[in-house]
Amino acid sequence: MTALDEPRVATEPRVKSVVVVVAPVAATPEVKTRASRSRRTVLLALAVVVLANATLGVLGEYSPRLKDPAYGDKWATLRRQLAARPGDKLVLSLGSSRTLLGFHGQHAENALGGRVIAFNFGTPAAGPVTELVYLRRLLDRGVTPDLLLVEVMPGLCADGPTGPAEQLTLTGERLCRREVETVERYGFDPAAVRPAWRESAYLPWSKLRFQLLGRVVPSWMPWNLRFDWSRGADAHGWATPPRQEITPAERAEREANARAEYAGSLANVSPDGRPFAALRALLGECQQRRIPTRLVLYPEGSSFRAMYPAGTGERFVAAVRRLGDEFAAPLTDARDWLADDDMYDGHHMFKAGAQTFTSRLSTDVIAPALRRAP
Amino acid sequence: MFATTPPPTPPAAPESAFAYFRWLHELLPEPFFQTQPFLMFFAAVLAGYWLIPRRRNTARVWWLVIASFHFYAAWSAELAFLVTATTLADFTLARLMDAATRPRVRKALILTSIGMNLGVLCYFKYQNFFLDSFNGLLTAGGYPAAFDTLKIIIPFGISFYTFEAISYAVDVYRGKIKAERSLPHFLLFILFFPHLVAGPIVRAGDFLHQTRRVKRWNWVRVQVGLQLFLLGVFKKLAIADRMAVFTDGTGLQPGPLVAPELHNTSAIWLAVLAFSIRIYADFSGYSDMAVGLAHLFGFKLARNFNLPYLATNVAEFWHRWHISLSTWLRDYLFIPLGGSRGGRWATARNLMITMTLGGLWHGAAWGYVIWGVLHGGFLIAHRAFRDWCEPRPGVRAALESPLGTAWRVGFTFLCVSLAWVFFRPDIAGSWEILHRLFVPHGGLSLPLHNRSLWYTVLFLLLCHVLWAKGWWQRMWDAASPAALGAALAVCLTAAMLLAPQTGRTFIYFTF
Repeated sequence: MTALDEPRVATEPRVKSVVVVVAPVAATPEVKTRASRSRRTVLLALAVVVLANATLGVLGEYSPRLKDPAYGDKWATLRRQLAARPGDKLVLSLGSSRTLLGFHGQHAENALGGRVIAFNFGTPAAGPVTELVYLRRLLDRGVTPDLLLVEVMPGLCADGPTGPAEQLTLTGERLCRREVETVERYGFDPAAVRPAWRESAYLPWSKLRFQLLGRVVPSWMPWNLRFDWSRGADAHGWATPPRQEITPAERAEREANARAEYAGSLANVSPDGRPFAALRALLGECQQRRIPTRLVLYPEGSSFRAMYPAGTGERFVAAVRRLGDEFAAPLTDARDWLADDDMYDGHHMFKAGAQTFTSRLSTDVIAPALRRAP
Repeated sequence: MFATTPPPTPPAAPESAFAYFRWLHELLPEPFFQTQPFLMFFAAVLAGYWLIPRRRNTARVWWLVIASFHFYAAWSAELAFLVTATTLADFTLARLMDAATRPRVRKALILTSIGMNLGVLCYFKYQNFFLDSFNGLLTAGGYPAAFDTLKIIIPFGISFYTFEAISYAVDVYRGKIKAERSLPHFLLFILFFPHLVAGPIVRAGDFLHQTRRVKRWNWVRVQVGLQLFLLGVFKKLAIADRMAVFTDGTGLQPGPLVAPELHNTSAIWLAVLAFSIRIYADFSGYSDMAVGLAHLFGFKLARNFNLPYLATNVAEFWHRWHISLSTWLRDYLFIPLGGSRGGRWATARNLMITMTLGGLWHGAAWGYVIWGVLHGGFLIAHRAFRDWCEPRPGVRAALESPLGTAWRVGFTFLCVSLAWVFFRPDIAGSWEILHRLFVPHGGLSLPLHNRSLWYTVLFLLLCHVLWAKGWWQRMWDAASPAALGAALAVCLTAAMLLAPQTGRTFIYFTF
């Protein structure tokens, strides 16, 4: 008898009822050994799976670099800068891809002179909620900027019926537990963000697979899943724009794409919305910690500016200005600082555009702010 | 794994009239084994099954029947009732057949049973195909189309359980087995959820006696079941779904088999290679999961695959690929047609009929028919070549040498892979693929870097060699429980890690 055989109850199909006495079959030592071996194998497999997931889940909670490489890679670069240049003043710029491609830290340092670290902490689709989460992470790690530049991206300040647009990018698995509560407070959908976080905590090998594979074998995945947005940035956090020149036809196509992406959301921009509340919380926290802060509206091409419904742009700027004044964080409206040719889709800068913009920002905003800073 | 599966390719389940079934559908929206909802369903069914005392075997069987019904009803309650109704009819007809003594009555009953099963199959699966084809003929002849096609949902797995029911009726008619007297046992034979929607095609003679056995918790069986299940999950998520990215594309770019007109020749070749791997990993992965799940209940289902891509000719391929279907076609179609008893031409005719109908079994489209015809042609050509080699010992020795064997394996794989080009409903797309395979074209390259494709090929090759040489089994037997447990855990973890963004429906679920 093999280990897989079962004692057979040979009920004759045509007999209505039958009493079957199954004599207990004594298991041979060999069968017992195999059963014991199998039991240990199965239980060990389950234990290893549980342990592996628990370990990675705990690591993820304490290491944003694992869960959120967009943040983690920037943080690693910034930490290297801080370690290499102790005592230098830190100018930190938070924002979206506009900041990522537009604030040229090296250029700013050259323009400012002296002992200043100008660091670009822009990440794609980072609106006020992401900026708040990232600022808190940095503060928790003891990073207190001498000047904080906060980009205000109008499209990401929109509060649609389903919540802020940035929740599509800042998904639950990129957050740790207490951050989930933060983003829910600012309108993220709990039905989406909480299960994603839970899965990243309990089944991290599944939920964090793109973060993990994106770091180890990026070529195995399409570019949009690699979480490597911050990996190609320079030592100051600035990412090289994908193109340095563009044909008129390509520009028209990209501008049309930008219109399709943002035209709808610009109509939902409201100073009473939840992204604004996140911005208010961020500014409040900076004020409380005495971090000098400046709000910046990044350059936009004429085609992009034309997208704002009548009066919306002005009302939005006025609302942001009021908010900034309330927290001693003046607004710099740089929307018309650059020519259309400095951007490839109406709001993302070429390298030359980034340098022009950064030079002016350094002289007009950063230098005076640093002089005034304690 | 775990939340990677999108809605299945077939249309969504019809709105059920009963709130209960709507609720059930929300709990278990898809009958896919690798999803979280299914695993929770399975855990509940497994726990309930083993908590029933073993002396209550009939209660256990009923428990599995009810669970299986719910498994199907969660997808579509109406179709679950239909499957149950035809199963009840099959049960009754077989009982009557067993009781009848007059040959004419028995013949009438078997014809009724087969007619009912094929009728249901034709109505749901082939009606639109025949109407479309007839309309196409009319249009080609200059007449307007005469029939509107019907909006019908093809029940998952209809081809599988129809064949199971037919084989049962035929076996009872032939006197090979007795008609089953226990209704729950027969219901379980057809409805048992591990094999319900995509096989393996189970034979009554292999399964029904198992329903009467007292099942005891057996750790060896649990280990075997778990191993097979995890192997299937790995094949599905880490290999099949990953290969689907090369064939069907990512969200950013369509794949070469979806939009062949956009892709260059090398991309098409690589996509054909990826599809061969995908369909094998997808279907054998599903079969492994099904067999593994059945083991956990104490049932043994037939092995469905045996390293088919190591076959040295197409005839051998069919001994290794979808074994439960190929043996069914052999026993219930090829042999009744006369098999290979009637000389060369009759054998060729029987092979062609069998394989053409086998192709049509897979899908109601001309692409599948062409695929079947191609395999019929391969089998006929192989027989002719074998006969030609028979009196030529030099050729035979060369072919049986290691190099010759490698060449035969490679050539068989090439033939099978090229035939897969037609294994799709879109026949115009198949011709475009074939054209671009052999006439160099420019265009897009693969939607993803081909490095992971080649790593997968090498990995599969290594696994096949290890398995075929018996080294795998030896390593497995010699390994300590700790090493085995770790290996199983790594298998599951790798499956979770390598699963692409969106899961894909099982290819064979649609048949």
